Amino acid sequence: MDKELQELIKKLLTEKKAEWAVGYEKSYDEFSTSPAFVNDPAAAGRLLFNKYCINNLGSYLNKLKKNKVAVVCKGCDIATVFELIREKQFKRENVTIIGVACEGVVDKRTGKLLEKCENCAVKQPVGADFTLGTAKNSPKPKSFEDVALFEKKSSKEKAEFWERQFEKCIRCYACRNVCPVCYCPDCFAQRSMPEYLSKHVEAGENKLFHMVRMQHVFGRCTDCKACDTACPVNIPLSLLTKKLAKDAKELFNYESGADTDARPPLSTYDEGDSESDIM
Amino acid sequence: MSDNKITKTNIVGFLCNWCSYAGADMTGLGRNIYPSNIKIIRIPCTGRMDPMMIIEAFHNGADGVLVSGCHPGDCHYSEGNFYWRRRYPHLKSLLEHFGIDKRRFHASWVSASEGKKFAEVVKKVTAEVKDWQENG
Repeated sequence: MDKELQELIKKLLTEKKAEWAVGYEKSYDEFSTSPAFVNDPAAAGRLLFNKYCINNLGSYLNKLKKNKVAVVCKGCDIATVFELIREKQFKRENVTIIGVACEGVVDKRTGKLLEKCENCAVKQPVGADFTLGTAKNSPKPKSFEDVALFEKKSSKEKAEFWERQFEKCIRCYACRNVCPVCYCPDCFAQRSMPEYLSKHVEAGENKLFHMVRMQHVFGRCTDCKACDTACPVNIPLSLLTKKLAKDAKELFNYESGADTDARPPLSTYDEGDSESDIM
Repeated sequence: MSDNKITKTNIVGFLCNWCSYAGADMTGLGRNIYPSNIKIIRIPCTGRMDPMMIIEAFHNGADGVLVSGCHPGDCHYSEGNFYWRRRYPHLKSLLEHFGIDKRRFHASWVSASEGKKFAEVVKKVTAEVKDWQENG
């Protein structure tokens, strides 16, 4: 597939269909890949795709929004690109999506297939401009079993669980920086007027940061797990992002990244919305 | 007072300027009695409720939070409370996921004339929060 990919990107760059191509290249060892930015057709030979291509390259499109860009996307990353188009971060016609068939990516730290890849329904990309390779989709739909299981715990147990997790957090902001939909130039976490968040790193403040971040990405998060894989201390952030996806589905029947014309659940309303819980 | 030494119950009430705040005023005018655990903050509209302020309230030690506004359709700004009505279930569910008990976070509709209802709502919220404090 690498050859095909290189040829395609070379062609796009020579024909000026794209000024920049974002893809993956080999990194410091055989288990690592890093994002690669190519604007010279001769350099397209650097690009590759394998099971260690873990990054969601949709994150970089915000930084290249003034250019015509070709981006290499796994099936799951396409939702990110669509979500950013829905948020009018760039125009659809400025992005060429190169979908690559993917049999799941591997976390090099554990050597295991990512949890999200096990029941993947988009191994064969949908909605791409060019599709390379073929893969068989998993027939099982996305399940929220683990979230439902966690929800059954008492609030005390939940609070304790997160307390332990957020004690680990070093507030490196990797989860935020890698997040494709966390692109505010002035994040609340660094604002000093008003200072929502104290600058010192401590479980309570860390929890506040994660709670507010989750709230900010509700209805926009495509559950790509970029934050989860970026976390250096292995906080199970996917348990939170999955909860967001579950809530969006159950409360508002909404799925982010599915439709570029949709209104996200919290920026619209319906006069018939339920209010069972309101006194 | 119960045995396990809970002496304080602090509830933050975010009341919309046009209905619930006036409703709370009406409660006083009507000489209705309600628990004094609630500390009221006036907001322009429930549509202005930034969920961050609620998370911030819990973070800074509030035992409970009540957000109250105009009945749907009566909003001074036509649609502010409709937006709030969507934010509320999502926020409640998210807070619960983080371990903030559902008994601690409430919302209500109280119009400017419903002084009696406001007293009832505060009583109910206080009872729920106290139940959480005492029984976990």
